[in-house]
Amino acid sequence: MYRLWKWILMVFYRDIRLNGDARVGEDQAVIFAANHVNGLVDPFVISAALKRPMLFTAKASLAKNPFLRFIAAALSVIFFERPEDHRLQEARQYNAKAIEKCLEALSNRRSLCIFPEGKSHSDPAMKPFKTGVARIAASYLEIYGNSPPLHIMPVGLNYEKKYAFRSSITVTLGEPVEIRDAAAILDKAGAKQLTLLLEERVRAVTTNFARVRDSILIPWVAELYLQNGLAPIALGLEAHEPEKKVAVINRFVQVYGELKQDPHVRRLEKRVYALRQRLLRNGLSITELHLPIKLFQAAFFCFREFELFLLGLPVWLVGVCGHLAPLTLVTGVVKAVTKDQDHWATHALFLGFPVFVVYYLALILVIMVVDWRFVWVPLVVMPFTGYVALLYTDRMKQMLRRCRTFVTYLRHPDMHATLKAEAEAILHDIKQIQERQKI
Amino acid sequence: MKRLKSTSWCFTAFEPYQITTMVLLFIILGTTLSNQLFIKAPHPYQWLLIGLVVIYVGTAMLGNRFKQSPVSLLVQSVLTIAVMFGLYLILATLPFDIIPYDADGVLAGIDQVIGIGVRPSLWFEPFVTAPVLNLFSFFYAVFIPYLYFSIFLSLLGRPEYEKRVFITAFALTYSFSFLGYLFVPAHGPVVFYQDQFANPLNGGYFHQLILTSIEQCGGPHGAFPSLHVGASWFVCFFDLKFNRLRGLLYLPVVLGIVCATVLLRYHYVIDLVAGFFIATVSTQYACRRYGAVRSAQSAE
Repeated sequence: MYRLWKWILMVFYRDIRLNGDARVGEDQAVIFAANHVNGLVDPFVISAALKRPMLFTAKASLAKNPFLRFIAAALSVIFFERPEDHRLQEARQYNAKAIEKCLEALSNRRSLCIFPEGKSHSDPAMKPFKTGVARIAASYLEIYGNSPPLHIMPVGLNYEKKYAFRSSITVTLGEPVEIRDAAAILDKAGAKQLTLLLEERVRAVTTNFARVRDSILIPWVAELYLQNGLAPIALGLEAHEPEKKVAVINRFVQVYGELKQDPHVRRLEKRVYALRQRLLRNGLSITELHLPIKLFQAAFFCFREFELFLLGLPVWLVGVCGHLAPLTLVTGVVKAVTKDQDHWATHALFLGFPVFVVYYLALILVIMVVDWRFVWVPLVVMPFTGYVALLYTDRMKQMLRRCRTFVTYLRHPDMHATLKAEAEAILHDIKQIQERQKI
Repeated sequence: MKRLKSTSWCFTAFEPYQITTMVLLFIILGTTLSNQLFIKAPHPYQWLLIGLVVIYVGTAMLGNRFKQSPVSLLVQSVLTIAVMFGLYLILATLPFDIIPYDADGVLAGIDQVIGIGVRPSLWFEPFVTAPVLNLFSFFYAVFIPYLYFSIFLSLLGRPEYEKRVFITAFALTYSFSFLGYLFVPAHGPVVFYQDQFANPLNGGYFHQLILTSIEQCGGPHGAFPSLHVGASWFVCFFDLKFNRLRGLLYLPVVLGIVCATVLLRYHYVIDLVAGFFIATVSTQYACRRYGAVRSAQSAE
């Protein structure tokens, strides 16, 4: 099933990258503990990235929706009652059975995925972890005596923009939590300690900020830092390894937290903000700040992109026209029912999937009635052109942005020089702070 | 990006694509020389081949002293491609001169088994009308600009790792195909079934273009395996791995080329299968080989 999830997700998101070994804990009792930021999309992302079926836990209130119940059955979800949704005594009884199911799965060497924050959110930082993982681990050790050995694996879900169509996701595996002394987690204090350790490990592979403003500025500075004054790479290639970016952001968050009151850092913050605003005003991206204005490179760029533009245009037209009706329907409904960023992707995916399936089935039916020999059109041509149209749109957007940047720099060389100089000065100051802080 | 270091492969510091090209050159030269010693008089291509060996080995040895330089990689790659294209011209006639057997009968037999008693080239004949012929001739002709464009784009606009994958897969695909040309000499259905076709192919502009190009390249080349399929699938497969949009956009074109080779009577179906297999294995090998080197270096 995870392949199907991946296909569905790859329509909405451009890329799902895994940092870490996908085979980790295969055929072993593993609990994957992840941050929860994107509603029902998160479990699909983890399953698709790790390329394996796994069991998930979710709040029991979800099972009231028949469609979600169907999805939950396909995803092997184990439901837990939350005390705030139910009376405490009943919740305890219900959850005891759910824990039994989890333990049984683990003893059968299956993977279990838990979101210890308890609920999905759009806060800039993770919420405190609940002790569910520790409780399951403790029960497992008590009943099965750590045989097969239990592994707890922190997972960091980092969305480029979780609500944005064709954005990318990075799934990072953290340092596993070893349970050396089984007795240590059997009591409440031990469970709390394990939970705190797990939270710390998940925090290390996710980005967490004190304020929303920081969540915009710090990743931007990290981008500037990683670009390191180099020319942007060719379109279609990944600029740098995403785990590097998470590590740099976390380092900056830490240093910024320590030096927030330093007047030098405050001045730097203002300069960063001003540079960002100036780039935004001119529609420029930080990654393309050092775009070289060289004739040969520009000619090569035009040659390469023009080939794709020309070749892809008819396919794109077929793909767009063929999918316009269901796409418009899904977008319209999702816009009408979604009130926050947290549920945008969930609604789009869970509505889009059945709508597109029905649309394809209807097309097949109509064509079979009209002339069955053309049944390959909805079966082969439509998915092919649809997928190519997605990739083509991404590429053409990137191409147009780069062209615009090139023309802007060509028309305003003084502005280009000023922006570059300012970015280099900021980078220099950041490196000085780095040296001062010995990081 | 970190530049790839030279790695020890086999017993030398040469890159896999250099070794492949050298081995191929030595095999072709060896076959020509042995033929001269035991069967006939010296072959006219013999000195040309010796020249190619000397130039290629010399340049590779010299180039390996500047292995870290991107210019060195570019020069080596261009030279490898030039050698392969040179060998393509040589192999138009060489195998038929020095190899004392013709594999057409065997290939046609295999084709008949694949087609469950039907000979695909003959079976398709009634469907090849003038517009169909011209359309598939267009696909067949597109192969050349597709290959040249892809070489140009891959050697200039990709990261070093991908350039190495590309040139290695290119060298392997061409080398294995040339070994097929050399040791399984066959003229293809166009000659073998000559008397069994109801009519000769007679198409429009694109078909004439193909006929002229083939004449200018020294006449029909070996049929086994199909380099049209092998090379176009290798380029497409490489693109699907590293530049998915381009790979997908050219996929229908590659399918057109595959069909064209049979419809235009240049290849047996087994040639297509062999070409496809060689290209897939070569590209996979190149990806794994340099993927492993890259992973090892990022771990450092």
